[in-house]
Amino acid sequence: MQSKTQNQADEQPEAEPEVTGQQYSQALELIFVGGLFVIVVAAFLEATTYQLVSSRTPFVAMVPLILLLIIQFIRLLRSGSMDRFKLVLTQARKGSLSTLNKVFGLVCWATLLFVMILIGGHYLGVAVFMFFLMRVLAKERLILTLIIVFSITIILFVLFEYGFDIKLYRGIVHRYFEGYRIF
Amino acid sequence: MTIIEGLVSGFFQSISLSVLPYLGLGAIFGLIIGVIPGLSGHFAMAMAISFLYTMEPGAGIAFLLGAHSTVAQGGGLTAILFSTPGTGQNAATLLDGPPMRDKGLAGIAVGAAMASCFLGATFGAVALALLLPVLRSVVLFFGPPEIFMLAMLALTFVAVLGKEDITRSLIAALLGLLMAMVGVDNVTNQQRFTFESSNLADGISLVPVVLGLFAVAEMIELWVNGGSLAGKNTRALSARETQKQIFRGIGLAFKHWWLVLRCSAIGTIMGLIPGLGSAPASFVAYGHAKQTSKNKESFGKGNVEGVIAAEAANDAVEGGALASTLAFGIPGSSSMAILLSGLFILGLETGPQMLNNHVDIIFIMIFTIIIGNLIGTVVGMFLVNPLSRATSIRASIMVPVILTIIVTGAYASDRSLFDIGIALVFGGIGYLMKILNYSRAALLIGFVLGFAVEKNLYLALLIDGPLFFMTPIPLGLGILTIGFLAYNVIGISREKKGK
Repeated sequence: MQSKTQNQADEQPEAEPEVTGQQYSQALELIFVGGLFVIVVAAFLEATTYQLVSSRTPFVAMVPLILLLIIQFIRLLRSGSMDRFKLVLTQARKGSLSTLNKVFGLVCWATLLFVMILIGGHYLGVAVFMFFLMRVLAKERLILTLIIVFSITIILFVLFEYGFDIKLYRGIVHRYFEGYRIF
Repeated sequence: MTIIEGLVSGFFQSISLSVLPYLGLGAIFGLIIGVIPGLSGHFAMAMAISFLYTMEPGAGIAFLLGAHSTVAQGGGLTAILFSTPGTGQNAATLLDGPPMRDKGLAGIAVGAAMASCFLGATFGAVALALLLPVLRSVVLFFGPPEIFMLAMLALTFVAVLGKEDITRSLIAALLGLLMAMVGVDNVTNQQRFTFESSNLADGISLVPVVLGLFAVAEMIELWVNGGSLAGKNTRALSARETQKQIFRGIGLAFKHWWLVLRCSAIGTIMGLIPGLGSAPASFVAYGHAKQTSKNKESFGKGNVEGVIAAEAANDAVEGGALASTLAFGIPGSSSMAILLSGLFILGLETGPQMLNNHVDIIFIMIFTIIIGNLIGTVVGMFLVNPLSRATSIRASIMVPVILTIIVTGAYASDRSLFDIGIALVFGGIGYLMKILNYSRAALLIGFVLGFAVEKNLYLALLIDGPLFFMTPIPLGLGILTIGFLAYNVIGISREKKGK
């Protein structure tokens, strides 16, 4: 009986440990520092192709920066961040990190906001962005959402178009029909 | 322009109809931002900067500094009412403000805090005015080698004295410096790190970077955490019972005038040192008040002297910080870096030119700080209740609305869609830096100083050759930089060994 229970326990997949806030931060920092290192080294190599007068100051910043990034990377590896990184990566792939999901969701919406402004213009872009964030993601009441979306869009229009005399971007579609071919 | 002429002109410009309304608007805007926890002075200034393009210099400065000067007052309100400091600089107010609230003395704490803010800011502004003749003489000794070495010292101070880890802060500062190198080199016309994009030829614009690093990043964090900025403590004060207490609190601040003076002096001196900022100044002042008080035991349990000390110091810092920013173009904090960029936008240059030719502008700043704080005190007293309700707006409403305003501000600065992208990208970077404890202030100051560092390094090498740092002032500044860095690194390694 006991051995049967033992076998059943063996057959069950091991429950994955939950990711703590600290593990999440360390894994994230590993990615951040690693990414920065790659970018700065690429910039360093790029700077070697410039004239010395132009590359001098970037070198003044980049040489210590690369050293500091290496030091920080080693510090992170020593504190066992690589194991945590693997754990966080596994959890992230499964979509079980709620913080990461929320940030990723907002980043996607922010990217869409940019695309919407580009195509439909500033006012349409921000109105659609606000509506989707409040109504679809945050499940706010429809009436409240509509009141806020319309009032903020109108306030922005009045403030910028009339108050500051700044014409906000009208979007590719509008510009196309106005006869522009360069956007 | 003489100092007296500047004083008179600055005063009349500050109270003129072309400046005063902007000052009032800025002060109320700053107060509202200050009330909202997490949104700090640099957030207020970052938001305000998007509106500068259409303003005259006097009005622009009044709007920008008016917003900045009242943030600490608003922050003090929420620190006392909700145990949530609106800004980091109000953290010391938490020690005695909330215990006073719990004793039913919230109004006294609020009144004392607001009056101390006003008195502290006035002290700092007057100190700046008195420092002007000294600064005028000192600044003449500062040529390209001196400015370059001073910029390096400022970056080290900012990185070391911040609340973040030294390595991380130095990484941020150098990264900011590197970011400033993007674009066409003014000397050789060489395109640097531009990927041959015309959008990057003029470098990365400052406004979207500021908006992204501070404003967008705060909004991402708020969205992730959810709820409202005030959290669960959303109980508003009853207006009538607090009004009487507020006036009693104001009276107490004046009654403790000697404490206000001493703590304001601490704040102003600490403001002169780049990188220290308001938060350490208010804690030092709080410690000083506790040490010198006859009633030491009651500190931390609701002593009004604790509130007065912290609030007086954190507003007096601005006068000192403005002095180093205006004289040398070296901003000591992220707020001063934003102010510096605001001055660039308004077509004003810091350094000897400002100290000699635009003394009136400096006095507009001085009077703006004083009048702005006065407006903040008066408005804050009567708007305690409605303002505090702003903190209970849900993240699901606050984030979309503020993000919309941010992208609009980012576009409006240069009429460039690319800048919206920059603001959003730097929002992500700013959020990462915030949660990973990398100093965003260091990155911004590095970025703002980048142009001055490059220009002065080029001129120093051209004028004095590779050994430009061997003259007395640059050598002294260099030794100070290395010594300061080494002292802190050794201190940290000893601390680790001790553990």
